[in-house]
Order: sequence, then structure tokens, then C-alpha cells
Amino acid sequence: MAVSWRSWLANEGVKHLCLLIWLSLNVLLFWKTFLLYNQGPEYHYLHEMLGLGLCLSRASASVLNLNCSLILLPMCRTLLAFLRGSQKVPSRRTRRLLDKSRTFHITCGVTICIFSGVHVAAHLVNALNFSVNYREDFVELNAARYREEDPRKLLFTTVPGLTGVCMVLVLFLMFTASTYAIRVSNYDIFWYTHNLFFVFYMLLMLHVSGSVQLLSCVQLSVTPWTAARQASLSITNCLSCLHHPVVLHQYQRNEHSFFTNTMKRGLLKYQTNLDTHPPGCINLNGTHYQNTHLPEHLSEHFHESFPGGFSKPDELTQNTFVKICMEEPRFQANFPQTWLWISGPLCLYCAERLYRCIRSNKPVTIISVTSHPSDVVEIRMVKENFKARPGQYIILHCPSVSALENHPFTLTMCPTETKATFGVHLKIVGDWTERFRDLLLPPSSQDSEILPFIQSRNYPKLYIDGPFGSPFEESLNYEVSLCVAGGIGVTPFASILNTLLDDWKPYKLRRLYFIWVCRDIQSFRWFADLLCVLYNKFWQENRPDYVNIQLYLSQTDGIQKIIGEKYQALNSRLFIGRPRWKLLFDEIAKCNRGKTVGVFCCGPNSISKTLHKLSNRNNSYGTRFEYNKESFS
Amino acid sequence: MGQIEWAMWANEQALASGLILITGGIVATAGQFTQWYLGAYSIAAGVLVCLLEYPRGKRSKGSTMERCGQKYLTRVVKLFGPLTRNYYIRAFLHLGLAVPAGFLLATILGTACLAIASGIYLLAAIRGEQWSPIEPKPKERPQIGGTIKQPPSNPPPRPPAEARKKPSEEAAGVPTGGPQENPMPVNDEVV
Repeated sequence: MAVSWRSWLANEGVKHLCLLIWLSLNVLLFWKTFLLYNQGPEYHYLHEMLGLGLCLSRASASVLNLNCSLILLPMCRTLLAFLRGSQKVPSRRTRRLLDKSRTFHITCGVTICIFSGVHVAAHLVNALNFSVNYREDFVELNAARYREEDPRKLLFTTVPGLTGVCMVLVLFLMFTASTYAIRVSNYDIFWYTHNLFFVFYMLLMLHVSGSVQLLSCVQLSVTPWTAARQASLSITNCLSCLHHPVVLHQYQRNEHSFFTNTMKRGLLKYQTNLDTHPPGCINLNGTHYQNTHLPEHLSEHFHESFPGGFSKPDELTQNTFVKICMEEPRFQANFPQTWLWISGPLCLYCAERLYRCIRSNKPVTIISVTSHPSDVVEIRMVKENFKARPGQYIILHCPSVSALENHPFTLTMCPTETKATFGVHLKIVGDWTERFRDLLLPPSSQDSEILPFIQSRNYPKLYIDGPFGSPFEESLNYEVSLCVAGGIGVTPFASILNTLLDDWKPYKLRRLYFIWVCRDIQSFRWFADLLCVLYNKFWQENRPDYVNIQLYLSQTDGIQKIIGEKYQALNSRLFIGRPRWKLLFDEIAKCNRGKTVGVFCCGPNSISKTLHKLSNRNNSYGTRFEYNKESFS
Repeated sequence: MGQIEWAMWANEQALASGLILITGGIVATAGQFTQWYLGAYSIAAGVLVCLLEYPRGKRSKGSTMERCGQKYLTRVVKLFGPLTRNYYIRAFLHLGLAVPAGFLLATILGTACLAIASGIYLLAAIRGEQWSPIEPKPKERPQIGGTIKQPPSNPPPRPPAEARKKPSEEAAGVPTGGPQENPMPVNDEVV
């Protein structure tokens, strides 16, 4: 019962290491940015005005930068499929990391939601502090236009504020539609709202550019008879103001003076002239740059302007000197770092979508459509230049059924050098598959087995996207593999079996344990022919133990059943009842001492969890089980 | 698109908005903002929305995942009958609850989210959806011996069930009185 540390490390170790690296990156970024805004001299005055809210908002923003850029990478599926197949990633351990790409995407998503909450709360407090702690000394630093300005105005009339509110609403829609319950019941809602991510990224780019004057110049209509002239002036100014702030300054000098405050881009600014104006210095004109929590009129008095460092001799030496300011502090907005963070992954993702679009533009030619028992339809087709490895899946798109929906199906037969046909098995569960089946097989002939080619002139146009990788491709790279399938989950293994039927020698696999659990005896007929032919082939080649088949019928009503008269090899391998996994694992461990066995499961979650637990357990034969899993929905 | 059940999504949104309202309300009352009583109101409204929305309604097709421990609240929500069944009422209730919280900065986002949820509920109501409680399935007690209808009438070895059920279709000449066919005639006289 003990967890074998070797097995655990092999199964979970690399995954947890990557999680740890990601977590420490986030913590490091948060901490560094927090300290920068808390203690950095260039943010001294800003920090005095805003307090803790500034540090929290900027620190969470840097974590958001990292996660918004990382979250796109696991979704570049073509790139991941390429990495899986190429020799550039030689180690099986790193290839297994790619199985967890969806989980990583979800982790980044949840982090974005949490830190957005922190960021929004901190900025709301900042908005409040901007209005309460308005300082006339540093007009450039204020986001508010006058003291006690309503913070809600700051929120809705500045570009960062408005884009921020819109982004929160988009994130809210995306997040509520991505819960497990919605994905399982109404996948459409999840899919359509998740495509709003593009709007989110566009708003994010605008949010950090922070061009404040874009909105405040729209408010510039003063009197009715000059309104038209000024409005047109403002709008042309708005368009050019991004490039020529100086020009705008000239126009607006005789207009409202508060407008000059918002000349510079960005709401949060840093001080540029630290050498000539160290923070906390004394201005000989009487303006006092320290202790801003004192009311403004008190700070005018010169005798209070000595730094507080005199009373504490053990403070830093810079406080014991009275610093004289050479000049007024100058502030400048930061360059929007977020553009650097997200431009790379966003361009990569867009390039990949474009490539997928171009690649899937040509429709496939459907060769045959077969109807199998238990609501399964097999489609065989050909397409030019289509290459796939066993275990990969494709996405089908049929405009006659639905213009917007795409559905993934695992390939059950891959194209080889000699044969360009490939096929999928579809189980008819929802409305898309039902409508698709009605288009492929006219209702009158749905009982018959195979539709002759002559009647197939009116097949609908079908487009495929892919192939995309999945963990099952690895089953050919282990010396011994255990493949467990539940119901229609047998499809990835069917392509593996088809490949072995073609030629088994080039692969590393030398023994395959194939366990297939079904509820209905007729389901076994989907691949009964394939299994029998494979069995006979290995028998002829004198390798009868290459494929070990066990079929389980999990639900029975007491009547003795067989698959079919001609499938004797399968009938003798049919068991009634659920498999006993522990005994199976013990038997495999005993027969393959000291080897590494790859465990693959495509079926219900309960089986998957049991197998995962058993793979981490100790056994006395020195056999290691490595667990590989595909996560659906 | 035709078979989407909007109510489920609206339910998730309303639950999330309730939580956002509670958080915003806590920040407002703890920070002693001006108009902090609106913060207290928003906490109360958030709690009410969360309690109302916690039990998930049953889907019209397929099985629904229950939230953890929702059966107690399902009983309470079921008591209100048509008030909670009808989604029009829920839509307007949420809209009404959301409006006062919009006047305070800390709870403005909760208002926006709850307003969106109320809009989706309105859409669900227009499409005729209704809230129906998820009833717990009655536990089927396994009856001991329930499948044994009749004890076997012959000693072993017994032929399989199919052969046992076809005594009348056998060719004439088989002795009636049991499906057992004796390979040799048996009589009980001792000679």
C-alpha cells in the first residue's frame, strides 16, 4: 500500500517541479515590484499620496503580465503537436509535460482572476486616495483634477479606468462560463464566451497605454456657439495629441488650465530627475516636499521643514543632511511593459490560428460511411498531404450541420505510406452528431451496415483541422504498455492497433495489454474484426504474447452472451463484470520485472483515478508504472 | 445554439456576483467609506443572492451536477413555489437588488455583474425555462432473494436456462414432468 517514491517521482515529479518554478516566478515578480514601489526613490511622492494601494496594484499588475502572456502558450496546439512528434524534445519526461498543458492554462486563468480582483480593489482605493490626497505641488502626479473629485468619475472618464471596467466584465463572463458544470452541460456557452479573449487582449493593450487626454478633451465643449468649433478642434487635437503633446499644450494654454495636467500619458508616473531633486529635499522657496499627511497650509512654514532625521541619529545618513532641491521634480509615465510581455505570445497564437485556417481550407473527400451498432458511425476519408500519427485527433467542421461548431474526434485509422485513407468513429450523443448522421446516412438505410459508394454523391462538405497531439502517442514508445479503454474511449487505441497491424517492428513497443470495458455487448463489434485480424497476424508471426486482449462486459442481465460466432478469439477473452485492477497490475508487474510500463487510460474518471493510484503504488517486482492521461472537457 | 440552457449560466453568474457584492460590501464597511451603510446593504443583498442561487436547477435534458450540500437549500427554495420557479421574477429581483449598490465605489462592480446575470435570466425566462429542484433519488434497497422467483425443480446437473424454458417445444416423446431429459429410461422398479 505504500506509495513508491520512485513511481511517484516518475509520475508526478516533473509536473510538480514545473508548478513550483511557475509559482516562484510569480512570487518573485510580485515581491520585486512591491518593493520597488514601496521603497524606490523615484516613486516616493506617488507612494506618499497613494500608500499601500499603489504597491499592491502594481505588484498584482506584474503578476497579471506574466500570466496573461503564459496563458496563450498551451493553446498553440499545432506547435505542441509538433513538439510532441519531433526529435527536438527527446526526453519522454518533457514530452509528458505537454499532457498537462490544459491544466496549466486553467491554473494561469484562475491566477488571472484572483489577481485581477486584487488589482481592481487596490486601484479603487487608489482612485479614492487620488481624490482625497490631491496635491497642488505636483500637479502632474495627480490623476484627479481637483481635490475631492468623485472617484467614480476618475473610474469612468479615464481610458485606463473605462477599459479596466470593461475588462472586468469580459473576464466575469469568461470565468462564469468556464466552470466545470457549464463545460459539461452546455459546451457552446463556454466556447463562444471564451472567444471574447481577443476583446480582452485589445482592451488590455489600451488599458496600459493610459492616454488620459483622449477622454478629457471630449468634455471640452464650453459654450454653445463655440462648441462646434471647439469640438472639432478637440477631436483633431485628440487624434494628433498622441504624437504631439507639445502642440496640444499650445492650443490649450488659454483654455482650461487643468487640461495641461493630463498632457503626459499614463496615470502612474515616476520621477526622472532624482539627482537634482532627491525626494524629501528642501526647496528654498518654501515649498516643503516632505510629510504630505500634514495639511497643506502648515507645511508652508519654513521652520517645520527640517527633516525628521535629526531626532533619530541612527537613521540613514542622507536624512541627517539637509538637502537642497535644485529644481522641481519632473515626472514621466512608464513605458507600458505589458506590450512587451503579451505581444510575443499573442503574435504566436494568431500565427498559429492563421496557419490552421489555411490548412483546413480544403474539404476532405468522404470515401465510405458505415453504421455500427450502439449508435456509432464510422467515416473514412482522404485528404491531400494529410499526415497523422496514431493517437492524434482531428476537429471536424461541417457547415451544413452548423456554421460555427467544431467537434474533436480521435482518428481510428491513420494514413500510412501505402494507404492514404484515414477514419474516425463518431458516437451519436448530441444534436450535432445526430444531424451529421442524418446528412450522411439517409434515415431509411440506417439499419443497413455499409452504404455503397454509388449512393454517396450527396455527402455534405466536411473540413478537418489538425491533427493535434495527445498522450496516447507515447504508447508506442514504451517497451510494455497497458491501455485501458472504456466504451467509445477505445478510439485512440484503435489507431494504435491499426498501426501495429500495418507494421510493428519500427516501434519500441514489445508487449501491449489491451483492456476494453463496455456496457453493451454489441459495442465490441466496432473493432472485433480489427482485434481478430491482429490476433491472427501475431499468431502467424509467432509472437502470440505481443497483444494481450481482455474484454469486460460491466453490466449484464444474466443471459450468456457472445460477441459473434466468428469471433472465437474474443469470446474466450470476454469476462463478465468489472476488471479487478489490483490483480491486473500485480500480474503485469510479475510478468515484466524491472521494466517501465506505460499506463494509458481513456474512459470514465473513476477508472482513471483508480489506475492513477495504482500506478503510484509499490510492488515487489521492481516494475515501474508511468501514468499518462488525457483530460476531456 | 438552439439547445443552450441559459439559466445555468445565469445561475453561475448570479452566484459569482453575490460573492463580489459581499466582498465589496466588506471593503466598504471595514474601510469606513462615506455612505458605508450602502456597504452593509450590499453584504445583505449578496448573502440573499447567494442563498437563492446556490441550489442548481435541474436541466431539461440529461443529468445535472449538484453543488455540494445543496439539498438543504433546495428544500427551502422549493417552499416559495412560483416565486422562485419563475425566472422573470428572479431577473427583476436581481436587477432591483443591484441598483442601490451601484452608488458606492466599492460595490459598483458587483452591481454590473448582477445586472448582467439578471439580463441572462431574462433571456432564459423568455425562452420558457423554469427552475425545477433536483430531487434526491430514492435509494434502492437491494432485496435479498428478490431475483429468485422459483427454486430449481431438478437436481444438478441442470441444463442452462434456455433449455429449461422450452419444454413444450421439444419433440413428442420426451416425458413431461420436468425439463430433465434422461438419456436412458429410468423406472423405479427393482427387478
